[in-house]
Amino acid sequence: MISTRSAPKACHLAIGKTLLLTTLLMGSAILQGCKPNTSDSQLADTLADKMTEASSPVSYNVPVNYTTLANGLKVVISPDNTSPVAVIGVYYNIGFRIEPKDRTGFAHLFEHMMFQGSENLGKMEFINLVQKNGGILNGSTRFDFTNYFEIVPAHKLETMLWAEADRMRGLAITQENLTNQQGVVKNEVKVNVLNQPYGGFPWLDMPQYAFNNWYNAHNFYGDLADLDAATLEDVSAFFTQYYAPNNAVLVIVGDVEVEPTMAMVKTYFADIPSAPLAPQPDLTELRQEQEKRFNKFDKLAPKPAFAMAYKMPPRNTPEYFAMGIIDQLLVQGTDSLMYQELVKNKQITGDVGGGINYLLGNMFNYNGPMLWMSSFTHDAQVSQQDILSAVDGVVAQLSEMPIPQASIDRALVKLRSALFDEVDSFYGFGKVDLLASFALFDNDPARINGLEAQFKAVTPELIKATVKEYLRPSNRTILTVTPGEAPATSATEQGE
Amino acid sequence: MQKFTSFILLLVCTLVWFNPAFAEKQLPPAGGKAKDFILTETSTVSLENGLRIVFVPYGNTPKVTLRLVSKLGNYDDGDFDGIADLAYQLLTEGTKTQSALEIAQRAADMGGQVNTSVGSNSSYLQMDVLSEFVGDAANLLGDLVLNSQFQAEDLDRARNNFLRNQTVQRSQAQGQAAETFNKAVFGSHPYSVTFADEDKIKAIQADTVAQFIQTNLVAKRSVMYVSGKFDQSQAEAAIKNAFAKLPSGSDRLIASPSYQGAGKMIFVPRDNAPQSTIRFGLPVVDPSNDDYIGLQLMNTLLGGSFASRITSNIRENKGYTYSPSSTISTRVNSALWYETADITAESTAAALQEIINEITRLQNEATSDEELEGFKSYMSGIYVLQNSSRTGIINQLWFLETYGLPLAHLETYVQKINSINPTDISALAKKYLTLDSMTLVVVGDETSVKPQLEANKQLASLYH
Repeated sequence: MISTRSAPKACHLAIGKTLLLTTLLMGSAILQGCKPNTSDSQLADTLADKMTEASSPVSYNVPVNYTTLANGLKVVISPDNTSPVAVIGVYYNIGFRIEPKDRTGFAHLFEHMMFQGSENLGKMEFINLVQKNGGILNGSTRFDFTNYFEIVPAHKLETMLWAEADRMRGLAITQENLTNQQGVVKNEVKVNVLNQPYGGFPWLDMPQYAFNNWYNAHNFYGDLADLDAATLEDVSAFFTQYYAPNNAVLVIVGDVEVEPTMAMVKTYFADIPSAPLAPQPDLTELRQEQEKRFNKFDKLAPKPAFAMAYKMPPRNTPEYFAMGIIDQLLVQGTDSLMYQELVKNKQITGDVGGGINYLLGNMFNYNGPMLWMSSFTHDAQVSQQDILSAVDGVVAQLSEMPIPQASIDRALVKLRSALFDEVDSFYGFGKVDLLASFALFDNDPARINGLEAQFKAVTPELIKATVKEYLRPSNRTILTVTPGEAPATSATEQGE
Repeated sequence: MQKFTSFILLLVCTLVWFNPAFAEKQLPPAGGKAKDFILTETSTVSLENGLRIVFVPYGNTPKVTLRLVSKLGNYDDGDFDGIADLAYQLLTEGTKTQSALEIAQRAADMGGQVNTSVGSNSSYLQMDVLSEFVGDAANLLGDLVLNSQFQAEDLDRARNNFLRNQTVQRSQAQGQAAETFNKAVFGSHPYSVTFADEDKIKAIQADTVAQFIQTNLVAKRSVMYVSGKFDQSQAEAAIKNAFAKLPSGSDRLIASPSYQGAGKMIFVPRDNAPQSTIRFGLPVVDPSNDDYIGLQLMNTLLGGSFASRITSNIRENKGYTYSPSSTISTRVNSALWYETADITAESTAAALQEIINEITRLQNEATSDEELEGFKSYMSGIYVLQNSSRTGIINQLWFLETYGLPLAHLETYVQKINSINPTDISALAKKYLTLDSMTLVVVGDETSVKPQLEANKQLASLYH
């Protein structure tokens, strides 16, 4: 009867409801350790090309004008005159995985600092500038990038480009600003995690249990003590290290013309100097050989909850696209196998959530080790064994029995429809996000137009093989929530 | 002392590092000439039973949204709290000819699924599908509305899930604040119910649900919106065919609430909570009143946007909270203005004092023209966005329908916003945001927070 709060997303800057922000889907970085195997990528592309030739007309064709300026800034312009609106997105190739080890939560705290003042815009002036020009704005921190965006009347494009360039050039922040945002971020952690039943479950918790490499497995929101320890020197060092034009992409989508827009971009961004980039840490995760199980006690939660996560195949491999289809078959929609088994047949829960980069993005906007996750709440009389045997039964349907062509076709239609929605979502912001991710991680924003073909190239045999390797019980981590205080003697691992 | 020195040094160094020039600041470029925004033209067709179909051709993406919205919701629950929620859930659980699985698979084959939403005054069934399936989606929705089976075992499952979700929502501080606030403000009116009474929901039988739908989900209380890219003649033929047998039914009146909460403060204990969750506000006029648009502008400036005064103060200046926000929450014959915030526990009274100060300042001092113009532009921009998506346009049209406003309301909205001046804003704040009529709910740690509230002179005099 009442929906009091949507699932918390890590790290939004601001005030969801009044800014009309509902959901943001984003997430990604370029990391030496986990680049997809080149030959596999090529194979997927070849298969996809074949399929394009053989099959139906292209369903959508997003215009992609892609340039890299001399200072290394990538620029994507994609005109669309459906509405007189422009969306401007700046994505920096630094996500919450990568931050100093004694400064957990710093990448996100830094995101807040980008709103605190630059050379020509003092505190609150950036925000006021966007609003008084009829626009909305936000920023967020994800696994492999930090992004900032504005949605404005199209004729205010130049104003926004000037403002984004101003803060890419440098910040002007005082200790007072930093102290203020430390307070704001600590309140963000309190409202989304510490004073929230299931706070952090599973989106913030699961990576900490499922991954072994510190970069993938630490608390991305940060310990309150680490947040307090941050200094202005940390802020300036982080800016120097990561916020350079050669570590960023600027995407403009909407009712704009390519040439004049490119001229404006050059005017404001071309003379921002590039900077030597810090080497990327190794993010590699080893193949998981044993199932992991954890429980977390939550004194605010009234019902038990269950989450499971399987490590994903490397991005852009044929198996990765197969996982996109498996995700549709297993957990997307009321027709999915998990929904039918857990909700209808076994009556374990009322709804099953899940996905790739679940609650923090989608399957395109990340660039490193990733999880396919699913979670739900249930009543106390349902045992973990009941849940696991239901889940294993569902997975067995994919690995042991023939997969009907009708099911695969249905998954493809759902994917196509979801891609349309993504491209359109939030006044074109969804398109910005895909273009930015493909520019930043693949140096190829035009990939947006080839996705459908890459999914169509997936064969039933490949789906089976992918299920066998990646949906192995030994590749999964299970995390449960038990309502109540942790028993004093318990040796069970705790979350935050 | 040493610490103080290093702090100053650091401050200077950092400013020098970041901003070497200290040159005169550049002004932002003003941008180009505004482009025309043209509202999407809609057309309406009526069936003999009174059902209206509204076509909204919008955008280039080959998708279409069909939403059957009806004037029925939790207001109509009567003695059966939550029956509207259960009824809409059961509308997707099987018809005379299709099982729930078949329904879900057919919808998925069209690239969509059946979504439902239940509100206080209105509820909807919706499918968002690939354009070529507009006719199939209409047929499926028609079958759900006219031929659903409302089986007892599905009801039991839906009820169990509903109660579990409600238990979870009730455990959230924000849910507790909303429940307490609505109860205080609405007294015995149906709008006072935030969470269903467990005994009442357990008393619901399958045939009660079937009867509820038959009485309330009727043609005269419903509109089918078709929005996006679609073949209009195909859509029209399919909808007419699928919904011809929907009973006409009759409209119902919604009683106005008599408000109860003025001058009440309610403290809801939440032991050791690191934050206090507050809801502070009072009834104002609903969208059918001429003052409403001015109130929206006032709210946007006061607390309803990122750059607003309260948010600038308690978030960006003081750091007391992450997501403060003021809202005008409207229902038929009712509107409430309130500020919500999750405030770090030790600053609860201080933050409330700042909120009160901002209200008082707005009442006593006219805003500058520049400040107000900025918020007017912001609202004009939001207006364009609200009318720039398939479902956004449906929301706008249904808003007019709900409050009996003419289409012209949408056409003259920006003009009306622009005619408001700074003294109007102060006058509205004075007329509607009377401090001694406000209800205050605080969900938080009793031991540490209650004494703060008692020690604050203004709060003590408002809630003695």
